Amino acid sequence: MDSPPSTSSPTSRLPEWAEIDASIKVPVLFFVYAAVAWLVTATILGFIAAVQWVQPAFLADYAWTTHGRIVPMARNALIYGWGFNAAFAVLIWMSARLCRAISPKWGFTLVGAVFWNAGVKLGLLGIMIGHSTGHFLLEMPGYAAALLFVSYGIVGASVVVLFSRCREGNLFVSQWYGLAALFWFPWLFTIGQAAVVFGDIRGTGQAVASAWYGHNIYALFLAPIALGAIYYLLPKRLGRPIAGYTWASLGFWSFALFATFGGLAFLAGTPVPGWVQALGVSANFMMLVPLFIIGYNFLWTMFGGTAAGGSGPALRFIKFGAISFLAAGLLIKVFSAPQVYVTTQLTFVSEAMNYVHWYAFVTMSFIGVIYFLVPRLVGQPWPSGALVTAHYWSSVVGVAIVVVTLILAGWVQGSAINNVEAYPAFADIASQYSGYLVGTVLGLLTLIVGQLAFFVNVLIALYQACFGKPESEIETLFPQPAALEVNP
Amino acid sequence: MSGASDHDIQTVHGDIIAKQKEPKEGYQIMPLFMLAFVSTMVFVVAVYFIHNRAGLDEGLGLATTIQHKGYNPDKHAVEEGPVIVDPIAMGRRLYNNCAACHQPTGMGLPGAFPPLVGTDWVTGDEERLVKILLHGLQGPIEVNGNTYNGAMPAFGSSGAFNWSDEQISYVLTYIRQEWGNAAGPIVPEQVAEVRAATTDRTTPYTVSEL
Repeated sequence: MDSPPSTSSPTSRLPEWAEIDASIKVPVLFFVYAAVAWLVTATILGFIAAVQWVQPAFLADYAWTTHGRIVPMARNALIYGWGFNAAFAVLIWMSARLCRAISPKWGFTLVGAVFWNAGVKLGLLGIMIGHSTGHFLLEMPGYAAALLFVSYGIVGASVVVLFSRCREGNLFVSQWYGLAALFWFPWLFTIGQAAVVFGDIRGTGQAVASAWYGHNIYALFLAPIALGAIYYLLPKRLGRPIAGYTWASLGFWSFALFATFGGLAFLAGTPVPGWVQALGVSANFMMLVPLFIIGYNFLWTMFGGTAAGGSGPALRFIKFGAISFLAAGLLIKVFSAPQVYVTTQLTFVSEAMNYVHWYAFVTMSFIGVIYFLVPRLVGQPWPSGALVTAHYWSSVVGVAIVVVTLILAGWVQGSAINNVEAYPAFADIASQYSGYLVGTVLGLLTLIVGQLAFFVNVLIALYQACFGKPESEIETLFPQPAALEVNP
Repeated sequence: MSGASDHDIQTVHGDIIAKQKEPKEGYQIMPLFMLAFVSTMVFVVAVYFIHNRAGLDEGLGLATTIQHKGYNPDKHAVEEGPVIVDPIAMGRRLYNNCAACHQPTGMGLPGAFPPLVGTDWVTGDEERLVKILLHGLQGPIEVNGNTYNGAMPAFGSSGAFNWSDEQISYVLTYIRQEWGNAAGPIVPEQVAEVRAATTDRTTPYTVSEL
């Protein structure tokens, strides 16, 4: 950019924001649509699974809808359906905007997007008809995994192309997290598939590899991208720089170093060598370093300034996600303390932590970005402010109910399991905690209501984008980005 | 309404980093608090890990042995001694197959399944007990003053369970010494003897035959 402007060759001109948006509009909106549809699907499947905890006979007469198939379907729909589609949308949007780069061929990305979703559908169908591999988050059968791998390559390549065309001199913290996650996932997926599914390693090694993969799909892919999204939207919507930004790089590197071993703490108290468990617990406690730095960055940016900050749905979701990340980090310390995990290990508490990680932090952050980028891409504000408010409050209330009831159920369950004299049979233990799980079912129902509101809002927005005002008006609307966000 | 453009985000944060890189008075790579915090974490976690590293030394030792050039699996393999099992622990586990009828308490079900507690059928004649388990028992039987009429399946080679001499000896030792029963143990050799003597038996015993 320092070079003097040469003759009017098209490459020397910095692209307009509207040009950038137009170049990524179709694949990003497709990812958003697919992601939200998967989110609703995953939550409904999760709801069925929770009903089966309370009423085991519910839908148990058909092999396709038994608990053992519904649970992995819900989990895979949430992670690979919602999580990855939303992550792709966030990654492409942030990369294009922060690099100030035009995507050369959006059709290429769209092909990857379509095949990724075909892969997830095929994988879920495979689980449904009984081809599941039975390994945590690697349940999808081999034919679906191959399709996912190839389509991830296509989408990932198009993000790398955006980075290679970068026109900005600096690299913002969001881009570190995004780019790192982009390359971490193929590494994880290759090792996970090779070791657990195709290599078929046995015994202790299998449990270790499986726990490592299952945690890292969160810690090394979804979490970094969600953190990047929070780092991006906070200064953007609040209009002030990240507090303590010079520490962000230490936070990033310590996160990259310690997060990957954190999953081994889930093996604490199981028959794997003691040092593997100690490594996991140690890594979880070392996570206090990035947690401290990231917490300082987030909290001081959010609450540090005296001037009234921005508002709007995007910021509300992002703030909830940021605080959930910090809460999750502290909760995991509590649950990896030896005095606590003797009770909580291998109970509903692990399910509660999944909801904290996947819903309260990752999902809420991604939803925040979606609330931010859709109006800018379709060039119109959200169709209904009431639906946005309904979505926010039912998400907050639903997630809180689900997490609290699951932790209570897990605590009661763990105490009963440890007291064999008083509760000799499985049915005695189950009768102790099933009351709390009714609360979980109601919490999931609340979540579904909010997500249906979200889905309707997205559908109307996309309908208006396709059949509404002509493309040219988008550029005239863009100079007032604040006007594009409804303030309910 | 405040807000920042994407270009602003890049330049503002770029400036923060650029300013930090300029040489400053004194030595200030890390404020003292941060240095103390990170060092304390590393120290505490290292102490925790060293104290809880069970299996690491053995694993590393084994790995070094296997990687050594002079390693010969025939010579260096660990000699495995005879497997020692606790017959009571094994018997308790095997008893899960019996508990459906005789109940975890060993008291049976009145009118349907006879008790195993305080009866001469269990604590008495060892050969008779082994025979019942090997080939089963059917028809009326009087235990502790009550008469039961049912069928107990065979756990020897004529039945579906096909337990070994060891397994039968474990479960019998268990029921002879649990719930206040205090009879002597039954060893696998005894079972083998009875099994050899009754090879032509294919149907369950009745009480009159015993």
